[in-house]
Order: sequence, then C-alpha cells, then structure tokens
Amino acid sequence: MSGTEPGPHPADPLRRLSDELTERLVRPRVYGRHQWRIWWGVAVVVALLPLVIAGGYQFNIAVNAELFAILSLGFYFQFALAGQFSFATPAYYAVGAYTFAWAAPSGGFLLAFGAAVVVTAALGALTKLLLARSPLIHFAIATLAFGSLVLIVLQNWTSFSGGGQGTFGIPQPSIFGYLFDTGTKQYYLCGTVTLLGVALLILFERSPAQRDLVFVRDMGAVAQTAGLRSAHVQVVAFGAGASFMGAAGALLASTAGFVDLSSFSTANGVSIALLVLLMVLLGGVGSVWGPVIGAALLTVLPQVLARWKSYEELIYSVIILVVILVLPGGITSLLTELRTRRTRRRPGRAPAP
Amino acid sequence: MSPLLDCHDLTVRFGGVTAVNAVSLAVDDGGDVVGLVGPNGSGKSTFLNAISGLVPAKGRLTVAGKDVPLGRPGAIARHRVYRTYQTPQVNPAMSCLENVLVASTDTSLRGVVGAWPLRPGMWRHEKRRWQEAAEALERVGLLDRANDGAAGLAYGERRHLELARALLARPRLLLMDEPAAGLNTAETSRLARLLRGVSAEGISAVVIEHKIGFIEELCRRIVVLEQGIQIAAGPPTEVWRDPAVMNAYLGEAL
Ligand SMILES: Nc1ncnc2c1ncn2[C@@H]1O[C@H](COP(=O)(O)OP(=O)(O)O)[C@@H](O)[C@H]1O
Ligand SMILES: [Mg+2]
Repeated sequence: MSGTEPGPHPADPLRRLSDELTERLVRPRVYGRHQWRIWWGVAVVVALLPLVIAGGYQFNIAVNAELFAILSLGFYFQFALAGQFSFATPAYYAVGAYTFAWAAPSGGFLLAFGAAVVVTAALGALTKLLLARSPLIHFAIATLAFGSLVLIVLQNWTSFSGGGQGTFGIPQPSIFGYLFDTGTKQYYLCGTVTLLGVALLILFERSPAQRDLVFVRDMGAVAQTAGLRSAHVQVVAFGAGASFMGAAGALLASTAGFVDLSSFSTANGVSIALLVLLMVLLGGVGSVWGPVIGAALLTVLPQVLARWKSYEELIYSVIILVVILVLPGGITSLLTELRTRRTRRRPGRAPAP
Repeated sequence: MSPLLDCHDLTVRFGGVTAVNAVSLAVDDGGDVVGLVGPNGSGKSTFLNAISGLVPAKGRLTVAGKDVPLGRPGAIARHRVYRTYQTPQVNPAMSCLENVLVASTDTSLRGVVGAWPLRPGMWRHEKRRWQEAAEALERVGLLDRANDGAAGLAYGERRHLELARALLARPRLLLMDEPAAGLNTAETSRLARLLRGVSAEGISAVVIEHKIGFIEELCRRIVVLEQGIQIAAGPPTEVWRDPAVMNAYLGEAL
C-alpha cells in the first residue's frame, strides 16, 4: 500500500465527535469534588481549634505546625508530584525569611510576602535548571551542597542577614492596617495561608499541569519523544514547590519578629530537611493531606513526649522504620484504605438470600 | 524535493558492539510507508531509538531538509515525528485518556498559569483537548475505556493506546516498533486497515514488523537489516527473493 493519494482531510485526520458525547464519556475522574469537602472540613477544624488551645505557648506550637505544614506542602510538590528529591528545603525556607525581613520594613507585609515567594520560586527554578541533567541521586546530593552554600552565603552576607547576630525588629504581619499582634491572630493568619496552599495544590492536581508533570516524572525520555518539554515542566514545578517554602519563611520571620540561621538548621534537634521528609512520608505521599497530617503530628509529638526527651532520636528512628516497613503510603493511605473498605462492605450488608 | 525523513549513515555502537552500522533510509512525505525487517537482534529497534534521540548515534538525520541533532530525545518530535515502542510505553498510574492527552498539540494554559490564575480559559482548552483525545481513542477502538486506568489494559490494547497518543500529536511521520506483535489474526488485519487509513491521510511511517502479510499490505518499500547492516532494500516481493535475505532468515522460525 503506497498511500500516494492524499486523504480528504490531511490537516485534520481525527473524526469529530459531538461535544456532549465527549463530555459525558471522557470527563476525567480526577475532577471529582471530594477533596473540596475534606478541605472545608479541615478549615472548620482549623477555625475551631483555638477553643481547645490554651495559652501563648500552645499557640506557638500550633503556628509552628502550620509553618511546617506549608514547608511540607512545598516538599510534597517537589518530591511527590515532580519526583525530585531535594535536601535544599532549609535554604528556601531561610531565603524566604531573609527576603521578607529585608523587604518588610519599607514594603509592608503583603509586598514582602510576595517578594519572598517570587525570590524563592526563582531560586528553586534556578536550582533545577542548573541540575537539569543530573539523575535523581546526584540531584539530591547536589541540592544538599546547594543548600549549605546558600546558608553559608547568608551567614557571611552580614549587611543583608545580620550574620550570626540575626535580623531583629521584623514588623509583625499587618494587612490593610489590620495588625496580627496576638498568638491567636497569627495562628489564623498562618492557618489561612496553609489552607490556601492546600487549595493551590488541589487545583494543581486537577489541571493539565499535573498530568504533564506526572507523565514526565514516570516516563522519562518517553515523555520527550511524545513531545513534552520535560525540563521546562520540571523546572516550573520545582520552583513552585520552593515558593511554598519561601512563604513559610516569610511567615516565620514576621511571626517571630527575628530570624537567625539556627532556625533553619534544626528543630528539636532534628535537621529540618529530614524532619520535613519524615512529615511527608508519615502523612503520605499519595495525598495532599499527607504533608498536613504529618506536619501536625510531628510538631505536636515532641511536646507530648517532652518527658522522654532523651529518647527522641530513638522515637524518630522507629517512626521512620515503621512507616517504611508497615505503612509505605503513610497515614493517608491507611485512611483511603479504610474508606474504600467501608464503601465496599455496604452492599454486603443486605440480608443474605 | 528532499524526502520527509532522511537518515544518512546512522551508526550506533554499544561498547564494542556495532548495533546499527551506517544504515541509510529515506521516507517520502504524504503517506509513504517503509517497512524495516530483519532477524531478532539485527538492530531495528536501536535504529528507531537513534532516530528518536534515545541512544547516542553518529551520522546525519534530516526531516524535510532540516538537520535534527542526534542523541537528544524529543528533538525530532519538534518536527512532528512521533513513535511507539516495542514494549508499549503507557503510564499505568494514569487513565487511558490522560495517557493520550499528554501528546495534544494544544499546549495553551497547560502549566501553572492554567492551573491557577486562568482556570476558565484552561477549562475551555481542556474540553477541546478531551474531545480530540476522545477522537483519537475512538479511532483505535478504546473510547469506551477512556476513563479506565491504563494498568488494566491488555498488551495489544496498550499498543493501540500508544498509537492513539502518537496520532493525537498530529504526526507527519510515525515510527512504529512491531505494532502488530501479540495481536491475533483479526486484530492484525484491523490494525493494518487502520494504518492504511492513516497513510491515506498523508501521514508517512516507518514500521518494524515480523508479520510478512502485514508488511506487504502496508509498505511500498522495505529495508532489511542483519547484524546492524542493511542487506537489501526495495519493494517487498523483490526483497523476499533476494538470496542474502533468504540466508539471513535461514534458521529463523518465521
Ligand atoms: N541499550 C543497549 N545497550 C547495549 N546493547 C544494546 C542496547 N540496545 C540494544 N543493544 C544490542 O543491540 C543489538 C540490536 O538490538 P535491537 O535493536 O533491539 O534489535 P531488534 O530490534 O532488531 O531485535 C542487540 O545485540 C542488542 O543486544
Ligand atoms: Mg526490536
């Protein structure tokens, strides 16, 4: 068959189907609504939590949990969605905080917050761009080096960061003249940003951007031969993830009122890069709620276990092993499992014939 | 006029093995179909991999007269040349429709701008993309599986899914690696009919295949490889009579 005769419609070889037929048959399942119902549920919980929180110290813990939730959402974006394992989380966190501290006194909260987000997005995109050809493990190690480099630069660039002294007197958050000057108000501010972050991820997961990203993540060079611009897609996703970390940094700077580099190396004696990884793994990489649950649990846990402080490392190690061996999908996978089991059992409740 | 695809002296070496040895091949525009045959391990898949930039290669490659850099996956896709694989490459974690949609040529609002600030515009483009993808699926007979996970597809169906993806990309040239492997007789002749239709629309193709009837039905010309070397080329009926080709296949259960 030589096919020398040109067809009737060479420009448009695909037969047209009617619009409604397509809509009915192929509206992808992923565009379902259940994530939004969960979102509203969590929003109600966040709104009512201050009823059971007592005292400034507990509000500090809660704000901390929210900051870690935002950090973990950024890590989830980079790791779970884009398939990029990075150790540079503390670097983006720090750059976000220092950018905010630099911009807030003259620019005000919103502008400084925006600056932190934009600068860290650009820095994240740059990281991925420079390392575009590095395979997974090399990329991870390189981000470790990149992260320390950024922190060293901040340490020595004293006119910008205050060096070892840190930066003090960062203005408290204030939006259109409303000052967030109490623990409760700051809790609500950070909670709102966390919920906005989750909403952004839910929207992303319901968009063609997610589809392209997952295909690039899973299919490697095959995606490129199908016409996808793999490098571009991954650079954008990595930058977007980093911008979440920058947002967390900005909130840290303005709620704490000062930043110094020790805030970005460890929390409760555990490296922040590892702690965030642990939060995402414990919560689960299969759902946007994983990082939120993981961050909440691992921020509150050390408080509950304060009496056993000397066993902290042991406890973290056991959690890592249990998650990896018993619960590789994290807590959210357990919840999903329970839900599908319950819905499956329902028809079985009918009396046996 | 220069051919649509022109491979000149493509050579691929893996360590000491020369898997493809100075093979040249030309495909014309407008529905020309060239078959690539040869015993197992003769370098057919490696040849397609070289064209699509998946393995480092030497030689010269042009599409419609324009040079295409070698060893860069996706370089040739910019020239609207798309492919399928010997082992079907579908993402089992995604639905059939999504597996096809990624190849849509409509790239508007597919990034974070469409995901966040410009969602209404994104939806308009998405609906058009769904429709196109549904048409591509319908063409290969998988429309009723559109929302099923690709993991549930049988081997032959995965091949068809790959083909739908390649068709959605509006190719000028398709590269297909054993598209009929694993299909029964009825399915094979249905695929041949589909591919003849594709060719009649002006889409050219390079097809690797072992099934002689399939090749004869589809290809104007075939090229025979043995141990990476081109040993014959021409219309199928002439090539089969070539003694070198008969030798190459001696002992191969065909
Ligand atoms: N990635 C690779 N690395 C090393 N050798 C390879 C690779 N791909 C193919 N080969 C070798 O190249 C030769 C040709 O293989 P292939 O192109 O798959 O043959 P065919 O598709 O004609 O059956 C074989 O000897 C095979 O072992
Ligand atoms: Mg092969």
